[in-house]
Amino acid sequence: MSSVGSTVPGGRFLFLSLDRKKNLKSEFERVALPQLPHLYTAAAYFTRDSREAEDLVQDTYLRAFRFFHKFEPGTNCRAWLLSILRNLFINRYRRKKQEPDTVDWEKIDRSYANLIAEGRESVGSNPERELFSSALDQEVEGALRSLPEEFRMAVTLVDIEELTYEEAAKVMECPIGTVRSRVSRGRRLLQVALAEYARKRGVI
Amino acid sequence: MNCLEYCDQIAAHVDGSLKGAELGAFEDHVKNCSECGRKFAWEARVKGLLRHGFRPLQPAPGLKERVLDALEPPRARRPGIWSFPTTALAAAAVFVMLMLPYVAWHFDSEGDIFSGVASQYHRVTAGVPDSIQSSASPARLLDLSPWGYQLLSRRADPVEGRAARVFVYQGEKNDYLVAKEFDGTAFPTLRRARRVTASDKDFFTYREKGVNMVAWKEKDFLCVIASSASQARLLALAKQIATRSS
Repeated sequence: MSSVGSTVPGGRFLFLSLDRKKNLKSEFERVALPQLPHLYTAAAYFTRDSREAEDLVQDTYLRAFRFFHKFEPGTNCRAWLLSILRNLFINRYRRKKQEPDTVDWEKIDRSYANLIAEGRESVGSNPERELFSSALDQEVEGALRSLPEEFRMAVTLVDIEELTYEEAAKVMECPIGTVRSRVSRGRRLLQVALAEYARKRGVI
Repeated sequence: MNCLEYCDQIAAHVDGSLKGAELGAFEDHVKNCSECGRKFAWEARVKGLLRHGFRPLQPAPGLKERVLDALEPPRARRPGIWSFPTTALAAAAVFVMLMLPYVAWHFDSEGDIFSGVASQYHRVTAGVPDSIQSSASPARLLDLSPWGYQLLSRRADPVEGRAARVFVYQGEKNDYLVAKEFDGTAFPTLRRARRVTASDKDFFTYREKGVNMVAWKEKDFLCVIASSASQARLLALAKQIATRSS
């Protein structure tokens, strides 16, 4: 004799629904908790402070658990958590309204052009390979932390958290084109910053 | 498209979001343009470094445990100070406080018309003299002689600054009737009284302390009469007085 749940579609849905509520915490632990290192990494680059990053991650999980019934299974849980994290960061942790974009783009563009030109003139060598293979983790971290917030956030979400442009746009609540532009400019800033580190170490 | 426009597509190509003809055109250009090809190579290296060759940051030990400890099921969570019952009670208290002036005004205003009149009637029937003649008493008064009532006394009896006068009449059967006039025609809201409309005029009947009362609006004042007579009889009398006055 088959159960009601297996013969009546509505009954099956009801059973699944009740079961889901009953195991909410274990499901949350299974789906959301493995994202903790990713959330912490994003939080650390957003806040640039390890203690604040831990608080931000904890607050993010508390809020995510409260609204876990709104999470759609099958969608990108990391992107969902990062949306919550980013909103909390904007509303609670960012002390200044908005960091001014103090980037001197003329200077950056000049440095970038020189970098490309150096590579063109280096016959028989591969400066970008030398540069990036020798880059130290702390140098990469420092370069990323030094980016203005909008570029730091875009690069973190796309390059480190591996979100698509669409997912990053949802998290950052901006158009996809804006994400693409911020990622591009952020990477350019990173290249110039890493080249500076490499020059100081005599690599290039 | 020129190099500048292709450069804008480098990030999109590095991230694999260029498709179809756009992708083909970009790849053709990069093959033939060493400058753009080099920029593409640099940007791809940066992405590769961040995604694959870079150690993710590690949180301090114990963060996972702290997060787990904080994840209490919603039903087990200790109710905060603004839990539903507290919030509902607070909202009710605020509502009552806001409504209090209105409620007080409502009952007071009703009292303006009816309260005191019944007591006055009882004093009269108990033989308490009420014949104080005030110099402030008005010349205006209800002439009830057509209905067999003679004026016994009159006095000013203002209520909360509103000028009012009380008249005591005695009927042919030694019954009494108390009338009270209020200056002005602003009629208070009378929620407890029953409204009866006759001859395009509103009459409000009310009973208190065994005394029936009827109130209505005259040309430039409000009038209340009180008696132990039945409500129907008093209402009929009020209609006759009002019709005659108008």
